[in-house]
Amino acid sequence: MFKLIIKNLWSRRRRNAALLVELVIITLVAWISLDTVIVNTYVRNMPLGYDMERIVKIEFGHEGVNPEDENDDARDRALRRFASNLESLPEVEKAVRVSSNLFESTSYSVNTISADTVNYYSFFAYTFNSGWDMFAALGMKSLGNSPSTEELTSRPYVQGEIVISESGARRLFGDMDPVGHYIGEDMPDFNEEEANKVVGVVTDIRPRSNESDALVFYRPNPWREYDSSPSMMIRLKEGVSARSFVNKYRDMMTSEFRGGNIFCYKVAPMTEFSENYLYKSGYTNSMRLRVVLALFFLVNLCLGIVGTFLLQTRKRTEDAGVMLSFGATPRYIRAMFLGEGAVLTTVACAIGFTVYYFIAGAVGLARGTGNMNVAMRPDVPWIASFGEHFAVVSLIVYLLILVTVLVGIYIPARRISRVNPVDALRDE
Amino acid sequence: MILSQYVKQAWHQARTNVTYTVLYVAGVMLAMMFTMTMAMVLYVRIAPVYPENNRDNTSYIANIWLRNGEIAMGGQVSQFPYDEWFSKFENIEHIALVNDSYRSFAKSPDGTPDFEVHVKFVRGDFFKIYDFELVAGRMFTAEEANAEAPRAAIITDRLAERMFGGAEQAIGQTVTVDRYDNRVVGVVRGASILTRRSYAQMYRPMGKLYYGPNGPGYGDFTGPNSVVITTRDAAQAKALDEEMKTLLHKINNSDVMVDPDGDRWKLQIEGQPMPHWRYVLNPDGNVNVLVWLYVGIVLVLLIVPAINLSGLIGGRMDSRLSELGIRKTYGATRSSLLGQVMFENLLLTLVGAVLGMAGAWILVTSCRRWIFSIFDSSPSQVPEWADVAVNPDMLFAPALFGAMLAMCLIVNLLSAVVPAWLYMRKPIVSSLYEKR
Repeated sequence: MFKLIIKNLWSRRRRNAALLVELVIITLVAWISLDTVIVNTYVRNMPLGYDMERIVKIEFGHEGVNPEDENDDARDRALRRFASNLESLPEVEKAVRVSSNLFESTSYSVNTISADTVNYYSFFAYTFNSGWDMFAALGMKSLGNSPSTEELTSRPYVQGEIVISESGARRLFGDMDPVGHYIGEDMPDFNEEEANKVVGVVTDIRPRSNESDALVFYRPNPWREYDSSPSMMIRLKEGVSARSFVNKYRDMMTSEFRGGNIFCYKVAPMTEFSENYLYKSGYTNSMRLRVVLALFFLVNLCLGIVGTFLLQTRKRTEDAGVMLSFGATPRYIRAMFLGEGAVLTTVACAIGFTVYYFIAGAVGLARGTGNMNVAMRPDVPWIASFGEHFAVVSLIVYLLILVTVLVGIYIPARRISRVNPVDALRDE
Repeated sequence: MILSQYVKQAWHQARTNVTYTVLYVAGVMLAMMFTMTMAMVLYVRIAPVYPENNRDNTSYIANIWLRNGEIAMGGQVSQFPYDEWFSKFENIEHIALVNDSYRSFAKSPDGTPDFEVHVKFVRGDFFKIYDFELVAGRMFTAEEANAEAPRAAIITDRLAERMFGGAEQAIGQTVTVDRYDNRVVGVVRGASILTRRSYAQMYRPMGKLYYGPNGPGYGDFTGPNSVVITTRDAAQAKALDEEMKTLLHKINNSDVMVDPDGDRWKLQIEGQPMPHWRYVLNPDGNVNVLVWLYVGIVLVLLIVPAINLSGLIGGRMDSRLSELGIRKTYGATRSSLLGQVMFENLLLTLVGAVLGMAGAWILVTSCRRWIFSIFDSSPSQVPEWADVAVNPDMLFAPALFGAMLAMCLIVNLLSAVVPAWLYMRKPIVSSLYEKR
């Protein structure tokens, strides 16, 4: 059958040439569109390190009602009152004060970090407030020789002491215990006297669901830097729906949570904040655009294939009639048509992938991280390895195009294979 | 008469070859839907729509930089350069200073929880630059506009409806926003949030800043505002560019740019005032690259379907060869046959285009909360409480219909010319031999 397929393709080479050109263009467009989609989809489905579904976030606005309350002590007292109210609710496991830009936020701080062995990475920097066990609220644990998370959030700090994530510790110090070591922050020439001292290591959390790495350090905020619009995070008990909790208690919080010159103005599941962040960061639009473009071209391809093969129906029906009269089965004829499509697709994809291999070598592949240090290899092995990455995406693109082509061919193929040999041979 | 003959033939062909017709129209519809969606998105952002009817003559000063060697600081514009220099430009028609509030909350008059409102603080000719329709009350008086601590406000009809039950009922009422009372003096027809430069729910005059006992200095150039300018025509816009260069030279050589340590700073306002279309497409990047990218996207969106359609037409020509052969024997020229084929395909293309346009309207209207920022690398979130109005003048603009027709012609040319021309070149005899 393979020889027959090649013969048929060659005999209609002019018509098939146009189809081949279109297939090559679509292969390239699909690769460009879908590389990012595939990588981003994979990264988004990686474990975050905390259960976002159980987290509700409260945002507070600032109102200058009482001049005496214009300080963080008053704010903190108000927040502790709110936390106490929340923890008395049956659905709540823990409620903590957090900085307003904690996770899934376009507002962030990224610093270049170097260890005493001089390695440069970009880390996300977040603050945590004294006396609020943010780590436990998020389900994080301390590792190695680190104090417990409760100790980490309640101990007295001096300027420059920080807590880092497990991934960050591994990148900077390998298997060595980082506690007691120093890391430089935005420090081209490492100087221990001005560096930050690592006092604890905690389990990884990916601060952004669309980025693969978890390079984070946490800076304590015991000296109460001015934070007029704090936030709170609520960790719900297992099995409690965040959306239902918000619907049930939102009005209570927005009307009663006032004090310390702050007031609650937004309560929403963390998943909603995550969606907002993904939108504002351009991630959602980028994915939509790429998926829509890829779908557009695949649908066009399907239409083109259907059209091309349907218009060959008359001639191919006669061929099929001859084959049927010589004992070929309808299944054989359908398989022949599908085989033609598969060969055409394989040739076109081979050309397209070869062309894109050289383009990708120059412009790079999707990284699944926004880490500003472009020399840093992404955390995910198959994304970081050019060969593996190229092979995975090529396979997915090939299968997508192949399915599209086979679907497009099947309809006319089925019609042609069911012809009555007598009718088909009448014109012959 | 010959055209009516072609129309009848085209209708007959469409009816007898339903599969071909459906595939052709579907292919055109898909291509047109996507390209027209793109056209509508760009149109709403760039073309004149209420109340930004003067977009063609509008430009902005939105970002300024101060540099001292390797140290640089930048941001939007403060009141100081506007009051001191920009408002005194000679080559302008109107100028205004605008500031958007961040997270303002209005007190609800019926005791329900505070709700978020978008407030714009304005100074200068804001309501002359943007053609707001006054529904009730009046615009700001000069005294209200220049007050040290302004308390007058103009609100939109939707906000008036929500808070007071109507536009007329809102006049003279108090709207408390962020604990400050504002007296409503006027109600305007609200702008869609899609017209971001003019959109707000409440407009207030901008208060005056105090710069300290020594007056403003080099550090007072940046602030949270942007400057909006309209010029009469292109010649005046060009003259304004020259005036800006002269002004920058004067400022950078003045004592105001010297800091207390005696270092001289340099004020930079690259490429500004920036025309509206350029500002909206990409204020920081290379606009030429972006324009070519858009053109490239449109061409790819048209070329790939055109290849499909070309294949369909080529296949269709096979079965029409005998018909064309007969017409050739009776003296039809190649150009008349080509014209007939092109016209028949153009009719089908138009049908597909109209369906595609309708599809684009449906897509744009149903996805209006995000589709207009689809090309933005950092899109602004549309607040959940904001109504994204897509007005008829945004969807049914003559320019869009013109764009649709132009794309029809492009698709028709790209798809039909080559296959039709190739088949016209076949000799009469072989055309007649071709089986029906």
